[in-house]
Amino acid sequence: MINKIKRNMLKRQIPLLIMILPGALWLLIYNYIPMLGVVIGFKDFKYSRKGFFHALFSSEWVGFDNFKFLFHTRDAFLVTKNTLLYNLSFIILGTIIAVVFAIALSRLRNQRLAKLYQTGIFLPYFMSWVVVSYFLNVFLNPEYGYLNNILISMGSDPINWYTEAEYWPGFLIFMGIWKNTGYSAVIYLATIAGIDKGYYEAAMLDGASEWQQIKHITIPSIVPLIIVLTLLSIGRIFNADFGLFYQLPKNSGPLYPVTNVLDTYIYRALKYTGDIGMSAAAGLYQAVVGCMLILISNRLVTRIDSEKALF
Amino acid sequence: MKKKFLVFLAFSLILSQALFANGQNEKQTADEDLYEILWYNIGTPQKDTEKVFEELSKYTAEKIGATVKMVQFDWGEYSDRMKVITASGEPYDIAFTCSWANNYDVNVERGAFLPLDDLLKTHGQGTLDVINPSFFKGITINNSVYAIPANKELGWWEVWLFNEEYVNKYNFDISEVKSIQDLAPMLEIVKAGESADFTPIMGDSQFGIDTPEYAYVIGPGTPFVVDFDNTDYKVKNIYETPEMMDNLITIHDYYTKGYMRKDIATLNNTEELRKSKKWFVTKSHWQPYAENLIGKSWDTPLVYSSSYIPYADNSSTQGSMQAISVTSGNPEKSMAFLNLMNTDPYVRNLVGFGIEGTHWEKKGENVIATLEDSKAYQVPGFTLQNLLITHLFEDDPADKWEKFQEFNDSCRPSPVLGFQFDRTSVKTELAVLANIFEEFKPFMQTGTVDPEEYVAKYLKRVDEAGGAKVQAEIQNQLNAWLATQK
Amino acid sequence: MKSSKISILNRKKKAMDLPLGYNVTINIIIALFCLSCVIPFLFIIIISFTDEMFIIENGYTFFPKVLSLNAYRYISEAGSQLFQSYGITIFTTVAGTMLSLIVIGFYSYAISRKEFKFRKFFTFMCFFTMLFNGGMVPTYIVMTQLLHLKDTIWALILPLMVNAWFILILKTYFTMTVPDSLIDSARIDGAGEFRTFFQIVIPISLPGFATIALFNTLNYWNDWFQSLLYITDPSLTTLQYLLMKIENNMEFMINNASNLGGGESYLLLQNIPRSTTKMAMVVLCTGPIILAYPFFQRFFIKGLTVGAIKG
Repeated sequence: MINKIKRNMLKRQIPLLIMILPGALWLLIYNYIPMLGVVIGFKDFKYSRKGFFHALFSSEWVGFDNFKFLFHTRDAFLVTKNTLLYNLSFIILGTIIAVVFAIALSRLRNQRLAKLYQTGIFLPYFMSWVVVSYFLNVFLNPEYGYLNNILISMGSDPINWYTEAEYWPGFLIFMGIWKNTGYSAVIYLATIAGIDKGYYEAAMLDGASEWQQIKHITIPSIVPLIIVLTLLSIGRIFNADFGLFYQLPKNSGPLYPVTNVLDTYIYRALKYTGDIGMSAAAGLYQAVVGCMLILISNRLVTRIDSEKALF
Repeated sequence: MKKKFLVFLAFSLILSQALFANGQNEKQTADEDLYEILWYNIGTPQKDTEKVFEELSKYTAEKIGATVKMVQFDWGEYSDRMKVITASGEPYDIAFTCSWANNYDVNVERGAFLPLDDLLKTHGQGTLDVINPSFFKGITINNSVYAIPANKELGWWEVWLFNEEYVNKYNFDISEVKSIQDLAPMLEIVKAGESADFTPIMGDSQFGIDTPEYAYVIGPGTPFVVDFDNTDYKVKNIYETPEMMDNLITIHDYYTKGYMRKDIATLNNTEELRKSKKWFVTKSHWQPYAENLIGKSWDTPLVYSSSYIPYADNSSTQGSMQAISVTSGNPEKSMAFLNLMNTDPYVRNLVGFGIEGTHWEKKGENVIATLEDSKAYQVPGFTLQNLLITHLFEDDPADKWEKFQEFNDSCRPSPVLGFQFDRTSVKTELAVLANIFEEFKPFMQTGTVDPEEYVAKYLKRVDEAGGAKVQAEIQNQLNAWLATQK
Repeated sequence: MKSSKISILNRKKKAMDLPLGYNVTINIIIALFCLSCVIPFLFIIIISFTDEMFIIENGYTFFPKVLSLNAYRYISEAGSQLFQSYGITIFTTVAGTMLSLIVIGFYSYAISRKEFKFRKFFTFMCFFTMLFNGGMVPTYIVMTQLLHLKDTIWALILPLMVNAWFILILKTYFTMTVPDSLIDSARIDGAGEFRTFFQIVIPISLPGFATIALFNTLNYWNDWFQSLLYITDPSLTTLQYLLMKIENNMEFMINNASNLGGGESYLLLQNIPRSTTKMAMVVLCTGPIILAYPFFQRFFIKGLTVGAIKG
C-alpha cells in the first residue's frame, strides 16, 4: 500500500523534475557557478599568469576596503538618498499609472483605438536614452531650445535648463515613467484579458456600477501581480536606470545634486581607475540591500496573505 | 528548505572550483614550430587585416620564427574588451596600452604586463637605439619598463588654432599670441564684425584652460600640481593658484561677452561648428606639420601660434605603447616582433599602410601614394611604434621626420617626469574626487560660471572629500621618489 | 448554442464599457500621453530624412526645409554588414524567444504546482539569482573557457535564454488564471503533467505566454552586450551592437580628444558619423521591432475555458 502511494507520488514528481531541469541547469551554469565572483569585491585583485582563478585566490583579502567609497563623505549619502527617493517614486507612481492605464485601456469602447494606443505608449521603450536626450535637447537647449523661445516670446527671461537643478527631479520622474509605462501596462493588460468575462456579466446583472466592477473584480485579480512586481522592484531599489540619470541631463555638473544616483556615482568614481574590486563591491552592496528589503517586504506580505507572497 | 539550498550553494562553489582550478591552458609554449603572436590593437576593424598579416607572417616566419595575428577593437570598446580579457586571464601576447585606453598604470599595478628591461636587452636592442630615452623615463614604474612607447612626438604642444580666412580678413598678427588674455582684442573685433551666428571661440565640454606654469603630478581627474620652473616640488591644488584664477576670470569674461556658445559646457563635440566654418579660434594639441593633416580634413586653412614651450610629462610619453602580457606564451618572439616594428622599415610600412601594389604604390625614394583599395586597410599609425621610419605622402614635406626629431629634442621635461603614484592608500578619496571633478570641471573651465564663486565651492567639496589627505600622500611619495633620483 | 454565444459577446462588450462621458475624457488623456510617446519617434524619422547642411545651419527641427536621402544612401553603401546584422538579429531573436518560452514555461509551470515537492527550493533558486550576481568576468569565463562558445551564435542566444523575472511573473500568472479544479479534473482523467501543460495550461494562459514572448523578443532584439563581450567576427554582430558601437565611439572621442596628440585627434574625429546618419541607423534598427507589439497583441485575449468549467 505504502509502496503504491510512493510510486504514485514519484510518477507525479518525475515529469515536473524533468520540466524544471533545463532551466535549473541554466541557472546553475550561468548564475551559480559564476557567483564565486562575488568574492572579488573583498579582494585587492591582481592578475596572475596562471589565470583568473589563481589570481582570485592569491590576491590579498582587504575586507571592506573596496566598499568605503560608497559611504565616504556626504556625497555618498546624497546619491544613496537620491537613488532611494527616485526609485520609491517610480515604484509607487509608476505602478499606479500603469495599472490605471491598463484598466482604462481595457474598458475603452473603441477597442481598435485602444490597441493603437497600446502600441503608441510602448514606443518610448525602444528609444535609447541617448536618442531621447537629443530630443529633450531640442526643447531645453539654452541657445535655441523651443521652451526658451516660447519664454522669450512671452516676455520672460530664458532659463538655462541644464544648470538649474530644481526642475530636474520633476523631469526625471516624468521621463522615467514615460519610458516604462507602456511596458508595465502590458503585463497588467495581459492579466486583465485573462479575467473571466462571466464575472462582469454577473455583476452587471446584479446592478453593479462600473467602479464597483473595477473595485471588486478587476483589481483583486491583478493584486497578486502588483505585489510580485512591486516586490521585484524593491529588490532593485538601489539600482538606477543609468541612461536616464547620465545621458538625459547631459552629464551636467550643476545638476549632480539631483541627478547623481548610485550607478552614476560608481561609474564616475571608477572611470579612470577601472578597479575591478571596487566595482564588484559596489554591485554586491546594491544587491545585498535589495535582498534584505525584499525579504522584509515579503515577510510583511506573508503576514497579510501568505498566498500572495513571492515564496 | 534553507538547509537544502545551502547545500546546493556549497555544491556549486565546489563545482566552480573543480572546473576552473585546472588553470588556464597557456598559449602554445615555445617550440620549434611557428609560434603565432596574438596582438590586440585599437581601431576600427578593417577588411584587409587578415590579408596584410598573412603577407607579414611570411616575412616574420623567416626572420623571427613566428607569425603575427592582429585583432582590432573599436575605439569606444577597446578598454572594456581588454579589461575582460585581462581579468579573465585569457592568454594573448601584445596589447596596445596608454594613459587613455587599457590604462597602462592600472594594468602594471595589477600585474598584467611583463617587465621588459631584460627582454629589451636580449631581443630589442635596435629599439633602445631609436627611441628617445625621455619616453622610457616617463613610463618607468618601480624601476622597470612595462611597455614600448611609440616613437612619435614626445611632448604636449598646445597651440591656438586660427581660421586663416578671418585672420586675413582682419589683418591680425598672431605670431605673438601666447596666453588666453592675448586673444582679447582680436576676439572683440571679430565679434563685432561678424553676424550673430558666428562663434569666435570654438570649443566643447572638454575645452580646458592651461596653466603652463604648473605640471600635473598624478593622472587625470585630479587637480594636483607642482611648479614647473622653480623646483621646490611642493604639491599644490591648481585651483588655488593665482594664475589659474586669472585664466578662469578671463574665460568667464569671454563667456559673458558671448564669444562661445552658451551651452558649451554640455556640448559633446564641435563637429557642426567646424563644418559651418563660422569660427575664429580654438585650442588644440599639435605636432610638426599637423596643419597639413588637419587643415585638409577640416577643409579650412589653418594657422597657429604656440601657447607655451612644449613639454613632456608622463601622460605625453604614455600616449601610445605596446605591452607584452604576462600570459604570453613566448615573450621573446613577441619582443623580437616589436623590435622589427621599430627598426625594420619593410615591416613597419607593411603594417602601417598595407601591401605595396595593393594598397599603396611607391612614388619616390621614401614617398608613397595610396591606391583605390587603401580604404580596406586604414589603421591608426600612431599606435604602431616607430613613426620615424614610415614613408611620407606626396604632400608631406621631405623633412617631416627631421622636424619631429628636432621637436622631441626641444621638449622640456616636466619636473615630475617618471614619478608614478601608488593609489592604494587613497583610492577611496580619489574615487570621490573623481566625481567632484566631473561635476565642476566642464563648467569652470569653459567659463560658464563665475569662477570666484565656483572655485570656492569646488575647493570646499575637495576638502570635505579628503583632498588634504591625498595631497599629503602625494607629497610623501614625491619626496621619497626625489630622494631616489639624486 | 451559437446564438447564445453571440448574445454573450454582445453583452460582454456592454459589461466592460465605460459611460460615455468618462470614455471621452479618458480617451483624450490617453491620446495625449500616446502623442508624447510617438512624437519623439517621428522626430527621429524626420531628422533621418533631413539634409545635413540644413541641420548644421539650423539645428534639429520638426519642419526641415531641405530633405535628403543621403543618410540612408550612406548606410546602404556600408551595405553587406547591415544585411548580415539583420539576419543575425532576426535569427537570434526568433530562435532565442522560442527556446526561452519552452524553458521558462516548463520551469514556471513546475514551480506553480502545489504538489511539487521541491517547489519552494526551485522558486528560491530562481529568485536568489536576481539578487546576487558574480559579475561580468566570471560569466565571461564560464562562456569562453568552460563552454568554449566565444564567437558563436550560441553566445548571443544562451545568456539571455532564462530570466528569473520572467519565470516569477509567469508563475504568478499560472497560479492566478489556471484554476486548481481544472488541473484536478485533468488528473482524474488520467492526464500526465506534460499533457496537462500543453493541452490545458497553455491555451488558458496565452496572454501570459504572449507577454513573456514579447519581452523576450525585445530583450533579444535590443541586446548588444553579448556581442560586445563574445563576438569579434563581424558576420555575427547584431543590429543594436552596430548602433552602440557608433555611440560608444563618439563618447570615447569626446572624452579623449584632449588626450591625444595633434595628429591623432583628427583621425578620431574623422570617424564621427553625421547626426542624420545616426538617426537613420536608429530608424533601421528599431523600426522592425515596433511591429512586435501588434503581433503579440492578438494573443491578449481570453482563453477558452468557460465551457469546460461550467460543463
